[in-house]
Amino acid sequence: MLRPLRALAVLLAIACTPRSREPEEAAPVAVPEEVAPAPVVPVSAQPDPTIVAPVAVPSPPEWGVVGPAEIDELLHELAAKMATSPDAAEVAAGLHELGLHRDSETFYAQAALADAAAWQPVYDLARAGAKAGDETVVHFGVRAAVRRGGARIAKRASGDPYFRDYRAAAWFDDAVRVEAPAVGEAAAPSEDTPAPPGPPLVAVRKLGGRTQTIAKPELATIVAALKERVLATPVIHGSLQSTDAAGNVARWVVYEFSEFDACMATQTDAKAGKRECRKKVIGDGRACNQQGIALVTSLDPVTIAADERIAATCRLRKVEHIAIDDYDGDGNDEVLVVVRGRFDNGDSRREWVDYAREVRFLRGDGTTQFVFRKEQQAFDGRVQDTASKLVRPRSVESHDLVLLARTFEAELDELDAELWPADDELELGPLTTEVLAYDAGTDTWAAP
Amino acid sequence: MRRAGAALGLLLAACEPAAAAQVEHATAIDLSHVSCGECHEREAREWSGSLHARAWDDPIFQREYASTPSESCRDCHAPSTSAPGRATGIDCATCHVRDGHVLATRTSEAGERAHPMRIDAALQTPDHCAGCHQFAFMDDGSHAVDEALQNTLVEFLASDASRDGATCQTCHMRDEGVVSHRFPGVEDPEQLARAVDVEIAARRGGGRITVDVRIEGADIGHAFPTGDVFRRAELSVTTPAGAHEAFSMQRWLGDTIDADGASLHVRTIDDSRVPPPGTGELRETLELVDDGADAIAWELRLHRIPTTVDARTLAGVTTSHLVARGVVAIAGPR
Repeated sequence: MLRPLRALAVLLAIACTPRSREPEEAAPVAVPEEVAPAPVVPVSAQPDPTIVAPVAVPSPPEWGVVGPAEIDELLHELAAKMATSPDAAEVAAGLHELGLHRDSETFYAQAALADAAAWQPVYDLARAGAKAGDETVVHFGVRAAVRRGGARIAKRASGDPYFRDYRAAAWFDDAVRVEAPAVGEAAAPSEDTPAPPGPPLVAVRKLGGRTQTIAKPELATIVAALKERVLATPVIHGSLQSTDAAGNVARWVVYEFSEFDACMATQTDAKAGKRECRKKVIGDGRACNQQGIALVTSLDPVTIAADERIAATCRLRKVEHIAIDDYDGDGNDEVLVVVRGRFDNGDSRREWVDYAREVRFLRGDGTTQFVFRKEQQAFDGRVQDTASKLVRPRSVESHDLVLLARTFEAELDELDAELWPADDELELGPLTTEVLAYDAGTDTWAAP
Repeated sequence: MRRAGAALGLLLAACEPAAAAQVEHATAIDLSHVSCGECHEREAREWSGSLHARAWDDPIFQREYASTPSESCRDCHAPSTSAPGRATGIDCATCHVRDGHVLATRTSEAGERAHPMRIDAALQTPDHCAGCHQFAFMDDGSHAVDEALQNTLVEFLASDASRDGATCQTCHMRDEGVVSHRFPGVEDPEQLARAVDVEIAARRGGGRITVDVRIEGADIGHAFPTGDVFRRAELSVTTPAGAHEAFSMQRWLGDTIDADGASLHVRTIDDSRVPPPGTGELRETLELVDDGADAIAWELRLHRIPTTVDARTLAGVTTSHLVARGVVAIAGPR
């Protein structure tokens, strides 16, 4: 079924260029004149931590008077970093959702230039600047939003938690002071701005889908049936229930069980069994768990119509998403399940840590239609594979998937739940997109 | 108790009345081992070479603390201090100072002049050691919280040593019959050598060399190895031509379902260590390809951490200790 474009639909047709983590060159008027150096404390004279010493506070930068010309210059500078998108605001919102705040600045700036009267794009630009730690962008964005939106926006900015860290800045009070409206102050994009190189990005949207969990008593029945099947008590991490037009109820459960427990269920001697199962399932490391997604089509008697193994390392941490929808547009519903795992070999000292994320589409009969796995490994907290990838549905009127990719240098805790480098301060490579086209003949998407 | 009494208004430095009066005004917070050593020179010297003294500075600990610093680490690795730069491990005050008094098993006039004292028989009991040698995993969502991370006291209570009236101090504060603050343990070759009895027999047949190993706790009051779950002992056998086999003595961790069936948690699923004396023995059989050797060499080593970590990040730090080694003739015709 065709799905309308949504406000949250994202990315675009543009070219990306590699970015530096260094701050962009500031607009001329935004350069602080002078910042007092931090006091130097000799190593041999460490202060007693119990004594509260007065803190030397650097003098605030002198921001001077910022007018429409300076704001306009910043907007053009930001907007020119990537090719102009006709849906810049939506693209920016999508990037914001992915935690790509510096990239979103570019498209908020494009949106601000496209509609010189609207306060929302510049306000959102200021918020993106706040998330990215770009004080100049926050300053100019707030100032522009107040100029465009008046007293209501000034009041909103003054209480906005996004700007909490900037309220004490020397420029803030002046920026939220309401002046005469200055509609149309932004100039048109410069005609001689060269188009950035690189392939265009593709718009994406949220994973979406309908959700309804299975009631507890029914889950207990399913758990008992699964226990018989896998020989160990399964832990249910997620569930989904749907009813088709004919009234048939399908129940899906994402479960996990201990391989060691399953092995022990086959042993008669507990002590000898421990040793045998340990040798069988652990080897030199720690026992892995098995994970699966089962389709239950009847509860009386319990009928497990399908049971697919999923893989989220040895330990499933979270079912991030489980939903049903006609993702491929073939007129039938599919189930989308996204799981994340983390395995540290039982070593709280975290030597090697495995991370994995799996995106899996299943047909209505429980068979796997498409699976995408991204594995990461970290040593002493440092991510070893520095390429991150995400799968999202495309946001245009198609049923393709989109693979987003970006390289980075990061610590594990600098990645978000999707193992995506969400911190703008990281060393990031260019953002790219690849369309995974849906093939109705094989009823699957092209492999990434 | 894991949190030793820390900030205590006490003075351990004064030996002479004049000095005592002087110190009384100079500092009421000096609990350093240096001050203790002014009167307790031998004890301070012994302690300074111990693992207790290095509990904070130990490179293995520092490496791990750098990656996962937590207050609970400090509770047992630097309990008497609060500023990182001043940490001195398990120092005199950790065991001997409570509520402004120096705890001791006996008192003296000089001691009473120098600082408030209190006789405390608990100093000689296993409970005094239990705070840092018997505790459960932290509730990190992964490990079962009722699972012991260190289980030495429980092991001790099950052992012959406990039934015979020994205590932790019997072995770990003993040096040729004299009370010692050297705290011999994993780094003491003689104590390690006394800890277990190893019997090894090798025979050939069917193209294989079969090595039967029996290890029993001897002069030890807990499992071997004990303590941290990442400690492991390894017995290896090698022929002159290089055929090699080994097995590991350790606690094995794995996910198992909780009793309520609601979640999985990491717990000990098997324990291949040498059990405490009186609770059993360890038997294992190794098999090698018969390469015509007349004898096999065997070696028992204790590793404080996995050897893979040692090789990668702690080169130069002693993390492996020899317990015993030998050579055994292979029985049976070629």
